This record gives sequence, C-alpha cells and structure tokens, in this order.
Amino acid sequence: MNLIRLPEGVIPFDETYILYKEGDLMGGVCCILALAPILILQSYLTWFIIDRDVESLYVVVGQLSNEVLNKILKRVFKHTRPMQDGLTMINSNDSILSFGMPSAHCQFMGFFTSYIIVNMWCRWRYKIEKRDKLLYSILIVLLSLSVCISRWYLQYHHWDQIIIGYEIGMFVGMWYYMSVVVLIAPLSIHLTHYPFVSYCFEILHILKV
Amino acid sequence: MNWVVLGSLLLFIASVYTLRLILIIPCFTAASESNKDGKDSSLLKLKQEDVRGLQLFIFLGSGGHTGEMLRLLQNYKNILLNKDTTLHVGYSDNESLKKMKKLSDAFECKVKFYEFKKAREVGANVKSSLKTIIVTLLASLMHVVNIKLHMLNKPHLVLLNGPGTCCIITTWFKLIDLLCLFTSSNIIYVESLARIKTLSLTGKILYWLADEFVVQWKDLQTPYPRSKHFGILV
Repeated sequence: MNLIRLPEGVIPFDETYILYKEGDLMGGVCCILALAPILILQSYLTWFIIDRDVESLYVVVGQLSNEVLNKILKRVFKHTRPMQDGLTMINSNDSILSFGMPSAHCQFMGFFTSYIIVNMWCRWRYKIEKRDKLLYSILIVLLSLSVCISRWYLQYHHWDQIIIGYEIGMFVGMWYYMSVVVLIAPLSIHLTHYPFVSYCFEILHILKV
Repeated sequence: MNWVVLGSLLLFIASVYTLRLILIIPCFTAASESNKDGKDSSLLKLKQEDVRGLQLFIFLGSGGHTGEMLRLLQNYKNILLNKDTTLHVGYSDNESLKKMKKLSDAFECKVKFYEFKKAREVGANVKSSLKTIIVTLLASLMHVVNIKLHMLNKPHLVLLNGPGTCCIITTWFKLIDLLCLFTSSNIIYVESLARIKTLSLTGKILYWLADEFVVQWKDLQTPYPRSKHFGILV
C-alpha cells in the first residue's frame, strides 16, 4: 500500500477524501456511496434553483443543523475511529476528522430518510400514487442503509457509531418535521408579506393547516 | 460497550413513539387534496352497512350543549343509532342525565352511562380544587380506558360538542393511542351553532387534536381552513 506524502501544511478536503483498498471494486462502490450526502445537498440546490420553493430551504436548514449537532456530539464523545490496517488518518489525533461517534454520514442519511419519508406521506401537496410513494420509501431506505454499510466496509466507523448515528439522525429528522409544521412554515408565510423576502423564495400552494 | 446497546434501543423506541405522535395528531398530516366541503372525507362518509356494531361515545355537558347534541343524534338517528349500536354516554350533571334517559327509551340501541365529575366546584379554595381536579382526571381516565376497550376491533366514533371536559377526554384518547400503537380514536368535533365568527375555547384547543372538525357556519372556514362545513346540522 502506497503512503502519500503531502507537502508541509497541505491537507486533504475531508468532506470528499475517502480511502479504499486499491483494486477493490466493492471499495470503489462504497466510496461513491460515501459521497451521497454531497450529491443529496446538490439536488436540494437544484430543486431550489428550479422552483425557488421554500420547502427545499427547510430541508437544507435541517440537514445543516444536523451536521452542526454531529460535530458537537463528536467533540462530546471523543471516540476514536477504527485503524485502517495499522494506518491512522492523515490528520492528527486532535482534529475533528479522527473522532468517530456518531457517524456523520449515517446521521445525515438518517435525517434524510425520516424527514423525506414523513414529508412525502403526510404533507406533500402534489398527487403521488400510493404505490409510487411506497416504492420511493423503500428506495430511500435502501440507499441510506447502503451508505451506512459503506462506512462500515471502508472501516471509517465501528458498527456502534453507525447505528447510533443513524438513529440520532432519524430522531432529529422527525422532531424537525414537527417544528417545520408548527413553527417554521407559519413563520415563513408571515414573512412573505415583506417584499424582499418574497423575492427570495416562493411558497407554492400554501398548505392549509 | 453495553451502554451503546441501551442507547440505541432507547433511541429506537423514542423514534417509534415520535412517529406515532406525528401520525395521531392531525395537524401534522395536512391533506393536500379534497380539503373542500365535499363529503368525501373517509371518516364522514357513513353508510348503514359500514357501521353495524358501532360503538359511539358522546358527552353531555351542561344545558345548551346537551340540547345540541341530542338534536344532532335525532337528525342522524337512522345511521348512528340502529339496533346494533352501543351508545356510551358521558354526563356531568343530572339534568342532562334525565333528558338522555327520557330520550333513550325511544332509541333501539344499547345505552351505557358514565359519570364524569366536574373538575372544580364553584367557590372552592386552591387545595380542595387541586384535589378535585386530580380525582376528576383519574376518574375520567378510568372511564376512557373502559370505553376504549369496548371500541377495540369494532367500528367506533367519538362525537364531541362544546363542553370543556371534552378537551380532557380528547387528551386521554390521544394519549392511549400514542402508547398503544395500533388503536385509533375517530374524534369528530362539531362546533356549536351559536359560534358564527369565532370559535369557543374548546374549539380552539380541539382544532389541533380532533380528527375531523365540523363548523356550522361557512364564515368560520376562512380563519380555520382545516374545518369542514356541511350546513347547519342541529
């Protein structure tokens, strides 16, 4: 296995830097799965650009708060990650990158799963057939579980960090959904009376709550 | 490592109960289609063959609310009160009890009576008020559990009107639904005929909790868009 020697003061960008065994096809697939959170954030941005829909803003704010919570919890627990075949991560032991509990990717996917599925079944204002909803829910759950398995396969996290991360994400996702319905959506409807705000985003088909 | 297993189990149970909370409180499930005053809501579509063996719970508060509820029952007698129905009647004062007993002789269904005491006697001081409130809460919980047991696995309906005790009854029903994950309580709240432009306090509270919210004047649908309007029902 080759060791990369970086020049002084040069570090990899930790969001997209994923190590895997050379020639391992499964490892390659797992790397792509580990990029899923970034792709999902990008799709939220696409949604916002096309529709200027405020729902996409709600999701993005929720996901980013979830990430902030994850960074706080990593500092609180201070669990180490598994060693990758005797090599530690490039960064030193004191940086955030090397703490492992809870897993950020799994927490992201847990939040994504619970928020999107609950939103789709309980609040989505465009008509989707029930069997389509079931199909999408199953696909979303399979995707999130694949990302969690990829974190375990590439030895970035122990299994307990993965499970706790996923469950924290699910829990936070549901409570964020409830706060959107009760607090944030009525507040933003109130805010659209100001002209600059209604230029920034649109609330399509205000839901009758 | 053991606390990890405990933590993940607790989180899982908490997530299940949070999901159940989202499903039973109706304000989180905003209907995007069919939210007009058409009668195509599944709960309000009652056909005679659907409701054989219906367990119906009503609550009679004081005076005017009792009168409205009894007129409502008379108007829907053919569907709601056929011979297979069991009618559970909650009452809190004797006048309502007498009126109901007189009418129930004319009904063909089985009738059961449950007394819900008043939460606070007029002019009581803080200590004895607290005692009566706690006693009332516990006694009403016992009654609601009893009624819920009758309602398991049968078509059931809870029809509520104006009195303040209906808020307590609704809370107990929803709490039992939260804890026992697979029950349902179909709660229909009918706002009083006297409320033309504003809701009563009970109505404002139950707007968030009742499964169907029925108003009798169309003006009320504008500030309360979740409500349904079928004309004057009493």
